[in-house]
Amino acid sequence: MAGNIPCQDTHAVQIVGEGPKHTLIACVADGAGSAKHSEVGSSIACQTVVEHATKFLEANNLADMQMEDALIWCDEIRKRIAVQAEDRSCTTREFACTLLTAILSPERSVFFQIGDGAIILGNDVLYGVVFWPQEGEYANSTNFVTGDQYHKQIEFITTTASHYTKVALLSDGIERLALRFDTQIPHIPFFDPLFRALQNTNDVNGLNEGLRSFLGSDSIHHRTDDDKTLILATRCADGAA
Amino acid sequence: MEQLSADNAFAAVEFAENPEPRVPCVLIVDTSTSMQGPRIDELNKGLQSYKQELLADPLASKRVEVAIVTFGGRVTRMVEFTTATSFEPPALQAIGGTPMGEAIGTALDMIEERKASYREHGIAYYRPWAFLITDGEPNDHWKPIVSRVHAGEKGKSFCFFAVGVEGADMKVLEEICVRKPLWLQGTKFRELFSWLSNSQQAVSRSSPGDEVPLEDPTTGPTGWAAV
Repeated sequence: MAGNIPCQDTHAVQIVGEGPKHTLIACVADGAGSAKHSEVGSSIACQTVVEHATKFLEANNLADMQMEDALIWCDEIRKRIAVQAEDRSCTTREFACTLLTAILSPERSVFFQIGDGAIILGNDVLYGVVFWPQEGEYANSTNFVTGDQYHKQIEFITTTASHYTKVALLSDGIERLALRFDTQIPHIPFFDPLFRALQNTNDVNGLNEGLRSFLGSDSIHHRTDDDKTLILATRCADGAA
Repeated sequence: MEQLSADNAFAAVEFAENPEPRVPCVLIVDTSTSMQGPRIDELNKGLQSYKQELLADPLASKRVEVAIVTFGGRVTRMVEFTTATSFEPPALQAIGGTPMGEAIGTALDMIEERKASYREHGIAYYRPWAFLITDGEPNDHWKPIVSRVHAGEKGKSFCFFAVGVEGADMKVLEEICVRKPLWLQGTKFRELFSWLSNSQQAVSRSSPGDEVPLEDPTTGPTGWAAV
């Protein structure tokens, strides 16, 4: 199950469709630290993706989605940000944010990413990282959907593989805790307890509260920078998200 | 299947142990004869407090790496890159001439070596700093270093800062340094190093895309510089 959370600053989760078209749309957009209006930027990014993905799925199958469609959605994000930038008399740079998206239906999965943070998939036996976090030479440099090269930097995968039952999206703030950089794989002792809890509990709100305080706790704070976002979702046996 | 409550779900989470991203900083310190006396004493005290300030910050103590190159008579790689916990501030002595050009070259070499080492071991790093402190004028062949510093700044290979202590030849520093060189007020080395550790703490916790704004070193009670 996954929380049906409406669009917030840095993430969005939406479930649309029924039966074979039952689809999960999950999105994380992390604002650049120094960008004055990064929350506006990431909010626009998430809202736009959910809107356009929903519309796309009304008229098409997820299998029809291609990188070009993701780029069209990015163009729309950039256009909306440009309007905000004009209103506030500043550059689009002040709205810079990364973008991670996972769209999952029973028969098809689509993932795309610009920037750092990561999308993780897991089954009963292993976990993997869909795209390794995009980082420049220096630790505090990455790519943004507002950047000039977004169309070259976007990574996109569409696949029929569906043997995984767990998906997570995380922002760069937890990368160093959740990923192993030497082998470029997810850190199992980080995800196992979290997914076990998700699969075994009926108290999603309690879990959300717990996750919120966990991400704000001292033990995490001493190990990472700010901006921690984590979405976890599991696929139930009957195919329902 | 055991029922896990929301509470104990998180207690079981274990974190990946990853090497921390590093903030490398090389200090290029003038230890020529003119630095003798209160100047070198205050500078040495400044180095001690620098170490303590870095240690006091949990992220900075793991991420900031310090190296020291001195130039007094000859150029010495006094301290190789090390984090605050293993940093033993040397008690510098001042004697000799001012081979500044060679010292800067050595410092930039050390930066490149360190980056290569990071890359080899999969360690992330922030843009390195080179910080020159001098009270005199170079008496070696320093002109060639100008293009190396300028090219490095242009290519964002490092950030090069210069601080002149009373007696320094500002014109030379202005030629070498792309950023505006600063005058040290008196012997306020402790304040200088405090500013340095604060700035590095800010870098060590900066997020992607950040241009870390540096605190103005010329104003306020902790100001130590003049333009």
